[in-house]
Amino acid sequence: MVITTYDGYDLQKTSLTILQVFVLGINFHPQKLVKKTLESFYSLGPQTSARIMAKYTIHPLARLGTLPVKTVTSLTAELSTMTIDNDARRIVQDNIKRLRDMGSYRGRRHAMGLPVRGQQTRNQIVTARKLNVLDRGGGDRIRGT
Amino acid sequence: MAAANCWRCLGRPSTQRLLAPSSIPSFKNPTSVAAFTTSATFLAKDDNQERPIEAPGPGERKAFRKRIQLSNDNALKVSGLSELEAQQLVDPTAVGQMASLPTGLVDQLRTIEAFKPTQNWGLFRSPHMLVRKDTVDFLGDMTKRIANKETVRTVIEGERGVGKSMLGLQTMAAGFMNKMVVINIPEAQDLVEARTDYSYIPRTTPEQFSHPSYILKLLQALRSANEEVLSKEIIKLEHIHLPGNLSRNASLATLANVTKEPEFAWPVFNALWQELLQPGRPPIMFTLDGLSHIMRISDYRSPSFNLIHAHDFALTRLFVEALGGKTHFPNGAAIVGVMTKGNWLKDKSVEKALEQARAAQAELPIPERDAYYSKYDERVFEALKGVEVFDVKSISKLEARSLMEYWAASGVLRMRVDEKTVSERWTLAGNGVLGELERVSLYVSRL
Amino acid sequence: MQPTRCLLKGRSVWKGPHIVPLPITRPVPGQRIKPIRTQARSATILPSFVGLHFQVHNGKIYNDVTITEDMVGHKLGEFSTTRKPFVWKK
Repeated sequence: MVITTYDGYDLQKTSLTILQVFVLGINFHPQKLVKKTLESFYSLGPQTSARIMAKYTIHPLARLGTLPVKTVTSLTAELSTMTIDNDARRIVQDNIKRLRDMGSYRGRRHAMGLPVRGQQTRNQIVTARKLNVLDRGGGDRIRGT
Repeated sequence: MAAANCWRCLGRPSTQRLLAPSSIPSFKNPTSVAAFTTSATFLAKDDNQERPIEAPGPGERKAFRKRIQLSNDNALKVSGLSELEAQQLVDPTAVGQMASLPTGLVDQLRTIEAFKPTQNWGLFRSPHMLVRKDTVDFLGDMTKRIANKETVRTVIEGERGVGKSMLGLQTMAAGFMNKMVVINIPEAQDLVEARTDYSYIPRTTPEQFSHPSYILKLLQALRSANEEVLSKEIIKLEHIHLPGNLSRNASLATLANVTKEPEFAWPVFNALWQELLQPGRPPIMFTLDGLSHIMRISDYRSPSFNLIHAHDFALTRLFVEALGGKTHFPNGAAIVGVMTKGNWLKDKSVEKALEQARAAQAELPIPERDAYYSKYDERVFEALKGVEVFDVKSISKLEARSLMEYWAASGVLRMRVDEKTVSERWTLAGNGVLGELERVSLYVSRL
Repeated sequence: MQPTRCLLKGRSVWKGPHIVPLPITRPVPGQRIKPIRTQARSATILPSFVGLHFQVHNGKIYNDVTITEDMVGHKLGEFSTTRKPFVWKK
């Protein structure tokens, strides 16, 4: 007879009971890390997500499926008071649009997708091509991720 | 449960495997494999094409790393060794004897996770242990004092691989055999590394935190391991704030079993602790492995985003207060903290506190703190105030011989065990450091 | 933040905004005034400029710029491009 014990790995158990978790009306997989979930919202980075998680005493490796429903609700409430996602994106886009509308050099460079702050353009302007666009911040979230 | 062979696919090939010693039959030349193995022809056919290796599923790697195998059908049965008795652990004439662990005791010890994955239990047919001089010294003194309802507060110290955790295991075994209530925190690191959930305990100032799921697991392990003792004790205090209905003369085992919700784990644990502190209860044994880990600031953050000190967690606080002598135990208790050297955060406060404790024990002048080091943690000194330090030493040649004879009888050590070989291995192992002795003798045949 | 802080745009407070004396005349109602022709590209646009017409030098010619409220705090030169757009020759 072989006697073996395993350290608890009970996440699969929880994912069987809860199929999806809704945070701010968006559904997430219960296996997703809470940290990653928070950071999937535009304008929330490592700093902010760490603070939000500390506020609700969620440990850094927690997964959504293991949170009590109460905590998920309060997370949603917290997020709904913050300027995130499309609101945050709109602020950035409005700033660029203002520069463009008044015809300044910076606005023009944004529109052309070229470096804005006097960098050389002979080589290597990949970052500028990627970021300096009028609708900065990309499109809407892909649902169900 | 998967068979032991299947787990081998997950392991990395060890150097021994790559060198292909003659004792292990190689897959490449099936002629050396015994004729009756059907897999030999199968493997020979498949030799040219690579078979796809299935990736382990989520959590399987960790389970493999942490698994504890307590018996091995391939090992030889060692006959003629007696079962371990309580008397044997405190008897100076029993030093150097090997004894098998009774099945009930093995179950209890496994429940509270006293066995460690690094201890090579999987090489043998059934768990046996060596009664060494340190065991008898430590447990003899402890048992005597607990019988007088004293509180023993000890830190087990020693070199790396010298057998500190094993002595902890033997202490727990003695606790179970002497009908104590044994509580064990198997790995203190788990409590501070921010890997398990935590929550604020309401209405505590300065704020305290608990580990809900961890404590629940601990509570359940504690209940099932100590069921025999706990079910005889009847509740004495009022527990109105606890969930569920506790009848007037419910046993402590019922109390420990009253919740399955992590949310209520700490209140129930605390209630059980308070019950155990009542006069007339059986003595408590509270052990913790990896003591230095809870003597620092943890990786958890409080709601105000400050790092939480390990002593602000309810469970560690309970242990630390018991170890520091703040808790009064009317029935006697053994509070044992085991240091770890393999996985150790060096901390000057712990070192200095233990140095002072050691000096106080030997009635020497207490060494002063370093005046030029400003980061001493006052709470560490508070926690280790007045503890006894027990240094685990190397084993003698006599003990080494008895151990090696057991290994040879189990078939894992293939050599003559005589005075010369014992002496050679004993010297190779840094003059009898047990872990090193195991390394030089057994790792050749380990997976 | 002080209301005038936006005029500084990174300059230190003790220096204040970069003010260049420009021949500014307040328009009399009903009378059309000529745009202000200037080579001072680094002059900060002050709130008092709003609604005025400027002709800002780009090194070669003078470009027409009409000041709006958004432009306050920027420099005059930002609105008069000095570069010729690149066109691939046919």
